[in-house]
Amino acid sequence: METFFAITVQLSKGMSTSLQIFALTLLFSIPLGLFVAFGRMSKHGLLRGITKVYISIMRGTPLMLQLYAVYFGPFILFGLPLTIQYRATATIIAFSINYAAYFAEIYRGGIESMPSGQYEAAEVLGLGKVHTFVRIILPQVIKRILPSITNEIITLVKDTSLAYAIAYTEMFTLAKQISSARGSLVPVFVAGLFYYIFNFVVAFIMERVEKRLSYYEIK
Amino acid sequence: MKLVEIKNLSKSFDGVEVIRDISFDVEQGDVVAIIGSSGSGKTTLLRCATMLERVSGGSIYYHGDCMVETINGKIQYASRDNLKKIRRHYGLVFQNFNLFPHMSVLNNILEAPVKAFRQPKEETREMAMKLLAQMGLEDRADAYPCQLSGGQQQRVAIARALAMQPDVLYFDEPTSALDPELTGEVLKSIKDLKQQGRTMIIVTHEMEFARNVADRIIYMANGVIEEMGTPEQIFNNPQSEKTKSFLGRTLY
Repeated sequence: METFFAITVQLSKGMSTSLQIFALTLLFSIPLGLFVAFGRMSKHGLLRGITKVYISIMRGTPLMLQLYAVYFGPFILFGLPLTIQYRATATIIAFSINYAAYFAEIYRGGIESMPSGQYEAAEVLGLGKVHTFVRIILPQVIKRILPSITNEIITLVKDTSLAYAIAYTEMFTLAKQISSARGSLVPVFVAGLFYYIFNFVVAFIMERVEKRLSYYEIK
Repeated sequence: MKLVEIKNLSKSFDGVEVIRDISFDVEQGDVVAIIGSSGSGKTTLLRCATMLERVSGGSIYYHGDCMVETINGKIQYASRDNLKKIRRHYGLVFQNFNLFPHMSVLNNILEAPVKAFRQPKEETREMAMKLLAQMGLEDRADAYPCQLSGGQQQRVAIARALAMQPDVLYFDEPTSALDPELTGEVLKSIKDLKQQGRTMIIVTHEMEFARNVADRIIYMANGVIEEMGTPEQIFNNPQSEKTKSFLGRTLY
């Protein structure tokens, strides 16, 4: 038990780093994804093409490789120095643009599944395009896509451990270091326990949100 | 003055002409029923008149204001601002209601007048409650659409359209999505609106209703107006062979 607490204390610094990656990635990728989705559904062919390629690359290559690209890219291309501070920034950038691509496809699916009657009713009532999207379409889309969003968020919790690829010390990196120092696998499993608890809380919160939106049904 | 004027209206989808050369006028207080078999272009006509579809030719005027005009084959819609104004002349009740499911009945009605057109909330609310009372739904103001029957939903949709105070109200088969036992309540609401002198253009398959409520019947076949006249003329003394055979099939 004592070792458990000792390990927890040692892990706590990495834990806050993981939490930071998690929170900042969501903060940036959720709105960014909406813009990507708009681009993907745009009437403008070029814009549609660009976002399509972007999504394809983000989904088609390993996140770890994307971390490398964002972290080493400025050094390789422009000879900018690799600083320790940049590790955090690079991690957030790589995660945000990667998750934005996934969120964009979820948004797109939700938006395209809306019956055209909702747009037509809004149009005949004289509601503008922005009003229609913000007040009529978006609230229904959010309800519809919530389960898929929950999935992504849970995956993100675990994906934060990939930051070790560029030696950004989040919880799992730290756990491995403690493991080798102690010559025991216990710290890694303790870290695993924390990921699980974290995701348990995420799932609980999302379930509450879903319940709050269950006051109506979408055809 | 003529409330609605439609001249030589035509609409094609991918080169296939769905309606052609449709012309008729609607005066203040007129109730016009448009009948005809499925695929005869009734709904397309309504969608063109409410700008849900762009016309392929012809002209439409509301209160003498031009919505779209075709001169020498060139289709010209009014400017965005003018179209905005013209749109306020009419309302549309859909076949499948198209209520906003995430909003209460009252908010469905208030969304456009209060949130988009900035009308005073309290007054509009009172008007909305009156409309709901008229539809026999004053006690369902806080309900959500999914808690209502189809007939109730359609009456909310009518109230929502009326809250914009349109001069003319279009109905696109307002009872076709309803269970047979629920059509009566909706048809009765529409009849009540006629008593109040509302101008209405109703696409319907309910022949008895059309006969009782309409001042004028338009019978459409294959995208054109085959015959137009009073209910007596159309139902008791149809001139066209097509009208006769259509009525023979629908009126047993």
